[in-house]
Amino acid sequence: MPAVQETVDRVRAIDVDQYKYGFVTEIESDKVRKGLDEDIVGFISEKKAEPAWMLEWRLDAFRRWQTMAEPTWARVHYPPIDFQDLHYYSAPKSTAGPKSLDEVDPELLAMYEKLGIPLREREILAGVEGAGSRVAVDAVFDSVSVVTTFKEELAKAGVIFCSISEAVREHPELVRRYLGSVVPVTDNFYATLNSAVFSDGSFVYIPPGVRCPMELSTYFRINERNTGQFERTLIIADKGAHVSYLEGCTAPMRDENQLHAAVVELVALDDAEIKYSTVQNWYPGDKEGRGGIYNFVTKRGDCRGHNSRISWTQVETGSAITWKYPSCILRGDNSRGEFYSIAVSNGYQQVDSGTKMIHLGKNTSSRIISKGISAGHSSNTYRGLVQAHRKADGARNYTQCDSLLIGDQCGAHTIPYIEAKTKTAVFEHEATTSKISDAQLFYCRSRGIPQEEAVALIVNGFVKDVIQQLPMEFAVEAQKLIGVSLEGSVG
Amino acid sequence: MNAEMRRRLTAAEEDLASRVAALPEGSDRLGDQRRAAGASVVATGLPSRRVEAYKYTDLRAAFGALAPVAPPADTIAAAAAVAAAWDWDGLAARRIVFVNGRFEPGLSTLAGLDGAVEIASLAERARLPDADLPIGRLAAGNEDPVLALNTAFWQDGVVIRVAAGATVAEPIAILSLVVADAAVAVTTRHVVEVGAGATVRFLEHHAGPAGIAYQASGAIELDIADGARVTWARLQEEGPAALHLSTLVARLGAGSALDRLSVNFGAALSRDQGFVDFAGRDSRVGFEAATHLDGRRHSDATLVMNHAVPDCASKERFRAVVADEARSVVQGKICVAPQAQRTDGRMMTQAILTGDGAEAINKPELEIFADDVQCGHGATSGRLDETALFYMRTRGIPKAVAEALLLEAFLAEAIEGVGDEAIAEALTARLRARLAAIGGEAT
Amino acid sequence: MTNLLEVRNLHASVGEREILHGLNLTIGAGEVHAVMGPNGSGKSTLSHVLAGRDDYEVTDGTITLDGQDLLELEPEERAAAGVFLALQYPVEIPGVANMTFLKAALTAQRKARGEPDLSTADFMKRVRAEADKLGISPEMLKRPVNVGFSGGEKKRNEILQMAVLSPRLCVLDETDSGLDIDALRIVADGVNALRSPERGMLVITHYQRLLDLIVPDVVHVLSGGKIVKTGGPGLALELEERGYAEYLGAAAA
Repeated sequence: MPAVQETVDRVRAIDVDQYKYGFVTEIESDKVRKGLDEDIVGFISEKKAEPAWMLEWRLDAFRRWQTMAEPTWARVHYPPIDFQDLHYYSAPKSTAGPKSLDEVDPELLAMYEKLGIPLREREILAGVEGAGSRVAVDAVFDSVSVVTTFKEELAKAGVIFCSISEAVREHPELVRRYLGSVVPVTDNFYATLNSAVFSDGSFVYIPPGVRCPMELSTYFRINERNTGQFERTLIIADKGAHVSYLEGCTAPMRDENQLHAAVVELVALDDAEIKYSTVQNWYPGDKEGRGGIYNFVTKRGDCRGHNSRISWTQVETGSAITWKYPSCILRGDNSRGEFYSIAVSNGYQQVDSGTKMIHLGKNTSSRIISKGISAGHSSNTYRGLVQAHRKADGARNYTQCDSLLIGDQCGAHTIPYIEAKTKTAVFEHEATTSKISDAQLFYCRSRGIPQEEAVALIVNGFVKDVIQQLPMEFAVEAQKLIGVSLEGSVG
Repeated sequence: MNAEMRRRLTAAEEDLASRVAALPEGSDRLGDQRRAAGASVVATGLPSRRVEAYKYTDLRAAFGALAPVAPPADTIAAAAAVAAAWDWDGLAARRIVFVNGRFEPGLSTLAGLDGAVEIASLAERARLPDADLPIGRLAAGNEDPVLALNTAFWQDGVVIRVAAGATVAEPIAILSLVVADAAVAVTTRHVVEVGAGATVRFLEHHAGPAGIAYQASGAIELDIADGARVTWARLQEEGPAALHLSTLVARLGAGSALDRLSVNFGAALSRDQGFVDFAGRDSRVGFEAATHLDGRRHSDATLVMNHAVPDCASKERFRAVVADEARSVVQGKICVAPQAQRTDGRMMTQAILTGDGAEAINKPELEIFADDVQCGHGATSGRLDETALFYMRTRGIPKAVAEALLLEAFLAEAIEGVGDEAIAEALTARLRARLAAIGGEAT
Repeated sequence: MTNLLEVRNLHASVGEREILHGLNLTIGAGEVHAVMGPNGSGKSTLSHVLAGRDDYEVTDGTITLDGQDLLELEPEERAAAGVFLALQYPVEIPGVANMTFLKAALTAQRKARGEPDLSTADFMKRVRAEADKLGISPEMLKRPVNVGFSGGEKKRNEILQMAVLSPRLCVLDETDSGLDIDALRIVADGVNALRSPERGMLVITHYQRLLDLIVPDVVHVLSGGKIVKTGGPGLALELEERGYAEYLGAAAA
């Protein structure tokens, strides 16, 4: 008992201020006035030099949004958000539009360097020549994409990787066909808001039969004060295409809360495969629960084609509030959806996250592995839906949902909805809640491993099944991040 | 709020409002309680799928209209119904009989219960001046609308008190029968107090006529004192057109135990909901459910297991066989309060679907605020084990027989989980008979 | 010969109950001592107190290793100082590979002692060599610590850790329990290979059979929370023949 008591005491003395990405970049920005109305929507559209159809789409979303109410069903609590008290557009002044790397503000490059995000293609190439671990990056700073690397090389393979703003202008036929086809404009309050005001994000199209030659990644950074970030990501894997995509996020430490409401849509056609990984490390707020990002995100993948496959992997360590349910619609026969998640909450963080697996096609399968770790005064909820429709013959799901509690001031909750509407569906669901046992801690310590390291070791064992799903370079990062997030809880 | 104000009343809700308005005036506690409970449901409306706890069982849609309160059954018909009722293979020697929601002392057999068990009619008690009915003591603070409806409209029920230290050898059966040839509403409420260290078994049986869409509602408040042990088995065999709502509110003192088994065969729509509170340390609850649904029946088993104190254990197993186009809903929630360290809470939900249009819906929830706990749940749904079926057929057992055997074995495991051999045997026999009857219909 | 371990007047309790009532024990470097005793005599308490398990409270007495006060130290500090406890029931740690675990332990211990970190290659070489001797397959090294191991595999794994971490004092708590004779032999060979002039060993067991294979220099009888008799290897044989009956009385007196 005392060993755990000590852990608990340390959790009480937690200091979330060890967030390492909390610096502010001093950069002149071009910011629209606060508030949201049709003029602001028009302003954003104009800034992006969008065609008329895009503006109409946005205005339609905005009008619908005005009739909607904020959802209250999630197990998260926060003071009402004044949606008129936010800036809906902010961009670094020096980068009015995507430019070549040489033209990017050196301040920005320095910031990304500080965050460990490689943007200089030449250096990357020099550094890891032949290592096969090149990553193309789209860097989004507040409301705009500042640079996208390796575009030319990707273009050789026929892969389109650019900011969504650019895609609206350059590839309107693709955007019109797929935008809003997975997450409809009126899907939910935040998705509708996003549809009206989304400012940037990434667009990926992998043509038929192409295996994307490198990892793609988008790095999101919220810098500006009182600014909502509404990014929109659209990834299409055409027939037989493969792509692995990674998303990372950080924000400065600020006393007030910042809003982030993204929408991510994935479309996998016949035999296509999309692997989407997220390492979410938005600023979680300080030790008193002040500040931090409100992360209200709608992510959904549509396995539209036969034998298609979509896999979500997420490592969630940041944000004051996380509200996200990366989901799969298993429409194509024999399609497969996967959801691997680690959600770490500490301090006063609140997480309500999980997934939906909607089985529509025949012989579809899904797998959910969720690992929640709660420490401090945090609340960590897994919420998931597994549903087999009447015609989804042979649907299969396996769900494993484990929670670990560190200390007695936090909460861990599991709310699965399991709906089998055909007798041929086979669903298996398992959930456990436990703590790090005294016996395990003592065993490690008796072998000379200090307590905090022992906790990290045991926690890493607990989350291993999910870490294994991440691309190698990021697995190591994620492991470290989990360690850092729990650092306060063990001294 | 706005949406609620704009809500259109259904016919049943309009009936409800006028019935609540018609509740007798007066300043007595019982009257206040009825009016307050009724008003709370009028205010919120009947629970629809928009209410999380009723997401899968939409009572607003299910209640076409409120049936009129059942008139007393005539003596001959009531006696015939009791004579025809199953007697738990002879186990139910002591019977408390309710027909159409009214206590029937003449048809009840209570001889031999002497000092250890005290039984009194609630309706009779209520007529006494200054009656202090124990109704609502355990249910205080529970805002469930089905329970509130029962509190507002109960017709009769019993108060059962089991003396401290008593061991009641023979089980006590509570029969709720309906005799009617048109839709009626029947509402009963029971309060059971088991004294410290007592041991007692209860059998609860619900039955009624086929083809009549009657509405039966029952609620039980079960208070288990320190060190007492209670076994409670219920068999729900309402008529196939009936609507059946049942609520158990239980509280366990320290070192006590409750083994509860619910067997569900009947009703077009049924909801069996339980709210169990651990109020003392070192107590244990076992919850078993065996449900067999055919036709288009809808059955809902909802349970909230509330661990408010340390060192208690709860174990639940819900098993359902769902045929035809029936639908089984199980919502089980294990709550562990911050102080409830060393809680052991386990829940298992398993459904076998045999019908092409059958559905199984599970929502097993964990809500954990204490760190030193071992809690978990599991849920599975699928078809009969094809390998076992094939194996049996290679040994010459016809497919239908093999299926019935496997289904019986599946449900019987839950029935046996009640831990009382005599009760389990009686109910397993009842299960076998039902499977045979349904198999017979099918061929 | 210098004294490696010195236990003086040790009183220890679990909860409200005192289990050890003034235990004395001295082990010199290079010596192997056996502590034998009936169930409930305090054998496991002694081993856990030496390793520093929190649930055991030392109410009186001293324990020193090479003159250093062990009671002052946290379990990991004791490990770094050279105490190794082979558990009767080794603990399972899901998801953490055996190899990772060993590396973490060795690295932490070396760091605590101010020694340079071992290179991964040297570490692997060392583990593989020791694993070979104990018949532990490379596959077992990759598996999570003790998860899905048989009783014999778990005990062999304990001895592997002991060999790799190379402690000053090995405490074997009922290492023979649950082992068949073949497994017992492998474990005993492993332990005997680690006997050295710098190292002390404390073998805690209920039965004589382990001591046929690991022959002790000194045998103690623990009963009622105290050492009630000390003798040579012959004492173990005596106990095997006559049982603990006579000592149960002695402790009570």
